Amino acid sequence: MPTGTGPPDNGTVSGQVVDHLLGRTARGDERAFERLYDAVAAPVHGLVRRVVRDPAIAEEVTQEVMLELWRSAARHDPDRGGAMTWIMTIAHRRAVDRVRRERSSGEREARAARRDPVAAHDPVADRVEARLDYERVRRCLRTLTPLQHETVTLAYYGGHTYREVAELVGAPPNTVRTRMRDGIIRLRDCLGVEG
Amino acid sequence: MTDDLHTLSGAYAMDAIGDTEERRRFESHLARCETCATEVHEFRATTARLGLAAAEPPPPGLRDRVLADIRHVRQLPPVTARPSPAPERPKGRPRRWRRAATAALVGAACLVTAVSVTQAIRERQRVDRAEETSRAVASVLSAPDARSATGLARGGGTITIIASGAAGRVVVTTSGLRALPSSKTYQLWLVNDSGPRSAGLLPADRTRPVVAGTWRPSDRVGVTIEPAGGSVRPTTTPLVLLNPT
Ligand SMILES: [Zn+2]
Repeated sequence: MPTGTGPPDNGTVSGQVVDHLLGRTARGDERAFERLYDAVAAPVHGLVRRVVRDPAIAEEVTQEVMLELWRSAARHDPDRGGAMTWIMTIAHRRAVDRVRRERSSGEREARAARRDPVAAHDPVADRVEARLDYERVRRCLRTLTPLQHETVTLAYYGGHTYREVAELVGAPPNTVRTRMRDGIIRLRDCLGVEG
Repeated sequence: MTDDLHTLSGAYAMDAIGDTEERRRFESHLARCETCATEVHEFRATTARLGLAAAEPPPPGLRDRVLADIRHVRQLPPVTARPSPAPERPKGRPRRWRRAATAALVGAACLVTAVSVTQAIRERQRVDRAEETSRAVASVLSAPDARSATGLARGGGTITIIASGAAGRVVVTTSGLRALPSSKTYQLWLVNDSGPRSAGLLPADRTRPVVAGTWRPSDRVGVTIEPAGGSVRPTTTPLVLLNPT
């Protein structure tokens, strides 16, 4: 067995396999893309669904993301990180773009959130907490301070900007962005992520 | 001011800078600040874990639609002409293992003169084993009859298998499996009508796939928790039982 260096590659569903499949997809291999779909569709869809919430929109965004992977596979630079991280980054950005468009077209949600901040964020955080599949992530999330935890989950799973998060939690934007950074650093160290 | 920008790395990695101008300003800082670049890189790998933790299969119909759609989507060419080799990463962080193996191979050659011969041999064997796994993985992945399945393990974690009858092997990768006390181990089983047979032990925390044989198309793939060292037959209910399709 090759010497195991540290934690799994980003704890990915299939680290090296996903790298391999994305590489083959980049060369136009449709069967590799099929396998890639099977390996990453659930993580992509789960994240997208968490962020956009609406099931129909989530399905649309997941479809967009998967097509984007096919289209841009050759743009992934393995020297700059694992394929799974790259994929989840694309998925998150797409989901966030979509949810922000929805929100700006219907400002209602944001206003409701301002009126009743607790109702606006707790259910998201709770659902996320309850659904986390990985013991380790859950355990690491628990090591965050309440404000770190809240700001990280509202931003990442809730798709909120740090300024929105500041309004939701009633803290100054500068404090919020610092807490977000502190929170991720703590998660990074707890999960043993090596970039 | 610059210090202020540094503190945006977390928000940036989570796509949480909503203001376009502010994001642009951070990005131009990012291009020059190695600390922030490293942070964003690591933060994305970190938040990807949060994303993976939320995994949930998409509606079944989506797969066919996506696979039909790609026929109409033209792929982008790779970004060409990368100037000079990629810069060395800071502080010799562990790279993904394939590149590490190549480096070790080169390193092994140097070691013969530099260090003791036994050590070089040990190094060499390590690399050979890595290469062997890599070849076995490639043979399964590229087999025309390769099939796959992914499942959530009871108790947490995901298991993905890719199997090929032609290659007679199954590649198993795991992520997020619960760490076990040293008295316990994960064990892999191939299961068909004549019962389960062991396909070896499965370390909970590993970066590399496990390649097991002999896989036959009638086999399902299961994982159980067993006493350290493994069992002859499963003694617990499988955490997951996968049927590659
Ligand atoms: Zn900086």
